[in-house]
Amino acid sequence: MSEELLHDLRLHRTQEERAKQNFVKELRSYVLNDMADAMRKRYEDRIKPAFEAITGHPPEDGMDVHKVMKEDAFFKFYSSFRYNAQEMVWRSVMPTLERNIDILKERAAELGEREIGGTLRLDPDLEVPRNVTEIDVHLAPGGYHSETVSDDLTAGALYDNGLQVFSFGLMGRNLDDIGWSMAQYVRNKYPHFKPERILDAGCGVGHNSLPWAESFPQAEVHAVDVAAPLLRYAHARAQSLGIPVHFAQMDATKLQFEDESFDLVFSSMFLHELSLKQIRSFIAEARRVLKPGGLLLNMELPPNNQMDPYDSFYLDWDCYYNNEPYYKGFRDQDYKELCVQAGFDPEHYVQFISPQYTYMKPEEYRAAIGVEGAIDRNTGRLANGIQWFGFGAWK
Amino acid sequence: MSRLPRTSRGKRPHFFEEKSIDQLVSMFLALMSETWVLKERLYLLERLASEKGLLSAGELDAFNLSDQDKETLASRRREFVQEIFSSLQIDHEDTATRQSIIDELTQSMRS
Repeated sequence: MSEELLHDLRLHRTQEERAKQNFVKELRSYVLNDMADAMRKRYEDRIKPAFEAITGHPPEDGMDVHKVMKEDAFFKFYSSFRYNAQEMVWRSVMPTLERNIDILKERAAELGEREIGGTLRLDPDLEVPRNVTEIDVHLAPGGYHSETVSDDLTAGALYDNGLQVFSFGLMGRNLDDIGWSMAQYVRNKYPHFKPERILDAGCGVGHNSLPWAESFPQAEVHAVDVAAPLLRYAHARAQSLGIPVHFAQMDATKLQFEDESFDLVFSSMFLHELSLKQIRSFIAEARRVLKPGGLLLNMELPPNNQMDPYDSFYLDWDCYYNNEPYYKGFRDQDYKELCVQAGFDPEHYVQFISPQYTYMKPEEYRAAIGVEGAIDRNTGRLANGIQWFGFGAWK
Repeated sequence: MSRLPRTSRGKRPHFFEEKSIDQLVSMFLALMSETWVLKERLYLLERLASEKGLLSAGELDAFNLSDQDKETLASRRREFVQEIFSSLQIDHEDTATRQSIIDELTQSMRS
């Protein structure tokens, strides 16, 4: 696992700050691997049989499981540890940011001058949706949109540095494994598909936008988000890594792109932060901007209707306890139906599971995606052995 | 730059029947974190000191701190205690109003 961010926005951390961040990674790994495994075993061995003895039937869905687990002492420790660890993720990186924010701004300005080919377009008149302004998603204090100084990119730095701690080595050296896995899935699975124009919607700091430009070097890659501080950081990060991407401040439910102007519209870990209304608008917008024969691909958490009740319950923890109120509402949807309602042909729906590309040799990855895997307890669950889930439709 | 906010908006959930147990868990984990920081730092120091031949047996125990050293340690100790007990200082009034907005948005998703 890389200890440092691998680009020029990397900040100097004192030994004490590094030690504290290392502790939070260790704590999260313990909670999400060791405690999670022990909790599942406890459920199978004791709690599920007790539920069946009392009700005469097994738990029907994740909510049934949640109801009984909430009373369990082990779940209480698991949850309180996990909730605290989430708060500690942000707190562990804040002192580093506070000391370095001016340096960060200077570096971002310098990086913006580099002739890489990437651009940044901000829209000060954009109305940032309330699900972003009013909710501190992931318990990130202040949320991802807040600006307190000119050309503020603090929220972007908070997210990048925070994710490095949060992911405890499971999201790739550049925190971009999701993007690589999705782009390489498309490249290997559909070798004749050669996208020339690609859009990443809800791109954040662009972790998963850049791998598309690297996997399809002939393509023009655009990436949009509503949060200016994330985009400023994304642009500087991309410039530093030498990958040309066009970042723009835009609401993905009201895209300012022409009809039929993209070959591929991508999103990752995006839909579950949106209201159902916003999800429907986005998928319809994605369809509008896609060329005939283009692909909509959403990397997401797997749907509850294709999961065991316990796994549903386990993944929905974030909805109840991580300030992600739309999470379960999204996961309760029929993903195919969402695409069909937006006008996609049900015959053209796709969904798949991908292993982690950046942790494998390319030939191992190609062999792995040749076998169609079913959704299981490792799908979308941040722990050792995680596999990513993707769904979408061809236009 | 000014200090970034350390707490997120929205009601902080409690998992135990008695809320104070949740606070104790926070304190325990904060303490664990600080303890680890110390252990890592001490390990580094001992490795450096022995590599450079700076420390001999009994030398630490015999060392006399200056007044300035004592003040520095006292100030760090105060910060240490405040950080460990920071879970007691959450502003409930503000988070309650924020929670009503979250509830409203959650409701609108269902409709």
